[in-house]
Amino acid sequence: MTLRSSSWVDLIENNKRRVWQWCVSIFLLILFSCVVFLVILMSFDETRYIADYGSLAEKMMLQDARNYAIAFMGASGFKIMLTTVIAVITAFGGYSYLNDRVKLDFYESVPQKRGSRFSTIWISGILIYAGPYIFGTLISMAILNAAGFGGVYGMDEALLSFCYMLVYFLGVYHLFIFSMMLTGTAFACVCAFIVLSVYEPVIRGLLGWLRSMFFVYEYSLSGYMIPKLSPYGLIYYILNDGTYRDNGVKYLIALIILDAVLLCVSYILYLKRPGEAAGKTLAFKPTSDTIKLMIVIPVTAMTAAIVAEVLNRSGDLRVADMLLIVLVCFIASSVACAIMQAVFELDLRAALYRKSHWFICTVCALLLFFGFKQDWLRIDRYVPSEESVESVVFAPEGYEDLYGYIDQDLNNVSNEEFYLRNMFISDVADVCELHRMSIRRYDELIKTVGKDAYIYDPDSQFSPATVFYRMKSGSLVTRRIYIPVKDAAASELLDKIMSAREFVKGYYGIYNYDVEKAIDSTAPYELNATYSNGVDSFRLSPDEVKDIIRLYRTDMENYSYSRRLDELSSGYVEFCVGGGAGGRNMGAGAYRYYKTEGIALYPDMKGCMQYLENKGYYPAAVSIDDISSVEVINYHQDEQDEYAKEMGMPYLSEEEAEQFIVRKRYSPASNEDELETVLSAIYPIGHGSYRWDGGRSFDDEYEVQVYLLNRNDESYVMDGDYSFFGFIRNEVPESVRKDMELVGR
Amino acid sequence: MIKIEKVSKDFDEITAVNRVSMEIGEGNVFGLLGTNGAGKSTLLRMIAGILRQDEGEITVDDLKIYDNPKAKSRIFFVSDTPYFFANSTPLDMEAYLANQYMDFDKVKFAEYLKTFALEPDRKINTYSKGMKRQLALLLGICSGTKYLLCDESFDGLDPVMRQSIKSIFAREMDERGLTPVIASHNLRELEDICDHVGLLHRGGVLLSKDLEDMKLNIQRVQCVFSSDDEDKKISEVLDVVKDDRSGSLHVYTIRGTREEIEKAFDGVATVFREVLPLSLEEIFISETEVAGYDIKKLILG
Repeated sequence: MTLRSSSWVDLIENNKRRVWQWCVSIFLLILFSCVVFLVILMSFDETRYIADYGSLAEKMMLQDARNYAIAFMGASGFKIMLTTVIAVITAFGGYSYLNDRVKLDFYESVPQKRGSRFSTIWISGILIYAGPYIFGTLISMAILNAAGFGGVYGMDEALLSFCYMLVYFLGVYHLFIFSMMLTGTAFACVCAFIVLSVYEPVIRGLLGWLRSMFFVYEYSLSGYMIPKLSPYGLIYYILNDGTYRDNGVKYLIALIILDAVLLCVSYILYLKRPGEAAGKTLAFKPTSDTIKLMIVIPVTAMTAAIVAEVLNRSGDLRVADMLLIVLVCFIASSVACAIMQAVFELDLRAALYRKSHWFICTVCALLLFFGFKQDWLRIDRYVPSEESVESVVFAPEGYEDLYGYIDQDLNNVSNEEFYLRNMFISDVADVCELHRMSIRRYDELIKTVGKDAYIYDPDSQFSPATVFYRMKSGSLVTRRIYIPVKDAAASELLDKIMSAREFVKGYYGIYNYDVEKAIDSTAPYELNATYSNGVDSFRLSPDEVKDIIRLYRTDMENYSYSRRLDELSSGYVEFCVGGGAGGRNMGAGAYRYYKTEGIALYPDMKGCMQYLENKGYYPAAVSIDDISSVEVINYHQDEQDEYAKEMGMPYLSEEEAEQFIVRKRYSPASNEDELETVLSAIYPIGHGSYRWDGGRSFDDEYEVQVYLLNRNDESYVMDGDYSFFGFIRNEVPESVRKDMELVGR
Repeated sequence: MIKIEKVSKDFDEITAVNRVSMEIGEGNVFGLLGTNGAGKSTLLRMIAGILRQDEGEITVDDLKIYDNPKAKSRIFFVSDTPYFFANSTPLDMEAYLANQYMDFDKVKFAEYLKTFALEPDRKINTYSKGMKRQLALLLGICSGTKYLLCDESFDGLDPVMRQSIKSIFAREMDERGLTPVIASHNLRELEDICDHVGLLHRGGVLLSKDLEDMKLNIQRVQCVFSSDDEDKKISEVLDVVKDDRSGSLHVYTIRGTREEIEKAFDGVATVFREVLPLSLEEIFISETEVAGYDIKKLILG
């Protein structure tokens, strides 16, 4: 007897039997991708681009060609979708013989080492993906060159993308192989794959839900739900390198490690897998209990959360509620355990086996639920010790309406992302002190009005802020606190924290980033800006944009939290990044890649204000000649609420409310003196009346609508346009107060 | 030699094979008999290295079989449901197996295909069930392995085919010392093929004997004694398995060679006596009845 031939021949033999998998891969990665890519490039219409973008047409076309090249040749969502499909198909096609006794008898009886068979199938699967991928990329590259867009996407980029996609392919491929090794039927395998794919986000979702239900100060970052132990989540982080909070390389390494771990575990399971596993739900009997507990406990805890949510008494569950939750949990856990046991053993009678699991799952789920409810681990009110913190992000929510952030490459950046990249407050002690003080004060309010105290905060004493502690251990502690901004001690701490350069640099984007360089270099995009003084808006020329940014930076050097308390915004500059001809309104027409950031201007920003005044854009104060009339409205909301309460209604109907609303229109013709008084006391509300810091603010009892006249051809204002103004709190003219009094009720 | 020592295999709570020990010598046709569920297939799949035994040891020519390509290259397993690749032809299967078994004899395979009128380039999925069985057996025979394990492979073959396969077995045994191991639930399927039979029941071995030895060591004697006391003398000197009496006619089933039995009967007075050979079926009935089993229910379909 001669021993069998080489692995190379095995590989060829294996591939011969996987023709349909090759066909799918070739169809998706070569035929489909290349044909669609070709059709898209052929549909490029230069005339249309010129019509839409004028002188920028060529740049825009190249940009579009590059975007499509990235989608079809690079690591993109489209490629991720195709890769996932192929990874699942190749893994299933390669190892599905394990679930079929007849095939198993055939393959396992031939003289081949199990390890060698595993590797033959494994390599074959990779070839099925990589071969068509590379070939498809080369064809796409040729199409790109033939269409005259040769330079927009380089071979080096294509190679890097291939590496990313291969690493992702291996992740999904190994995950599916792992699912196959754990199970004995195709159905069970698909179920296992789905469970493994969604398990981490589901657990994260459950924990997040419990936290939001019971915790007051807990805060989750926006990417919290994205799994970190799954190829799907990791490829997301990798492809968002540069726009996400961590370096993509870190996640690339993590994905490679995950690939390797899944491969090793799958390989070991393959070697250990008993032949009789074919046709059973689970290949390894000892895994059944673990799998069951890992699924049923979260399901039961989720049921408890649903019941608590339905009862709507998450904060203060009564004894009867708790008993109901325990009962429902037991029912949910029993049903789930019974179903899983019956599925595992493919026998309905098995539903009643292993009843001890019903109790174990119930108890574990209840421990989890009540653990969060009672905060046994003391997570919610945890304030890190100063010594353990490296630096802090302190982000007052809505302190200034900045419309979002643009980074120095003119990409949009989320608020969290911006803060984490740029804000490194080293005065940790003040933040910790403010954190502790805020908890103490806010807890007092909770005792009076309940968990959602912020919503019912009667005197708007508290303002929210998110705090991220970068711990020396490398972890990140995230919290949302409610700060008693009107409290003197808190205000003092806020002044120290928010007047620091570390805060200013991490909170104000335009102050921090050197965007001018990007404006000049990142064709075909442009950075435009509009100044709005609350009444009128003015599009700034490119030179004005640069000037205002320069002056803003200089003015912000003198920024101080306490000084800003007495200031009212005197206008707003909105920056817009985009490509195309644009128009008077920056977001209109063919404008694309619309990304904005704004800066609020205050009278104390002398450089900016002087510049705008010289240009004739400021001040916004309207004269009697600019208006047709002014309408002042007082809704008498407190009286309305009181009356509704008396009547036992949540709120009044429109007709009933009308009797509480007092309006008065002042016009130059009939009330010139009164109108002058009103005009002298009102300010344009501009970009909002909310005042996070509790400083000088508008009196929200009054609404002032100023009806404007068109003053000149350059102005955006048309006859009949109106603008919202307001009175400053405690500065409403006496005559207006009298006019607005509610008479006859 | 295939050596099976105290081998057990459980499937969850069911014991499929229970401490089975037997030896399958070279150059014989070994028949593995047993009812459905007796453990034949499980034992064969363990011998083929498909399943790993829970206890005991299986060696093929002193090599452990499980995950050992060297040992597996000496065995070809023909399953009760032969597997062929989708849309494959006999030539495709030959190509694959020739890569796995380096002694695969392609010339002989072509010759056998011709003999059995199986078209080499016809899709196997268009073959009848019987043709597929023939093809599987031919692939196994041509693989050049020393041992050929056939799990119920003869069930459903017509007598002509059975005879042809039997002839091929004989030729291969003669030429290269092939040892076929044939599992079946029907004794009559094996009667004319096997040299040695192992009987499995409920996971255990009821008996494992050479057929020739069995035939030589058990006889049937019909006799009428001269007097009533004479029959007691027979019971004292011979190993009487069974004594059926019809009037004065005794029909004995007795262990021992014909000579031993003849000699014993020479010492008693009989009016009439005749020593007859037993059919394999009768031998099995006798052997298993002693163990308390009704062989008719077990393996005589």
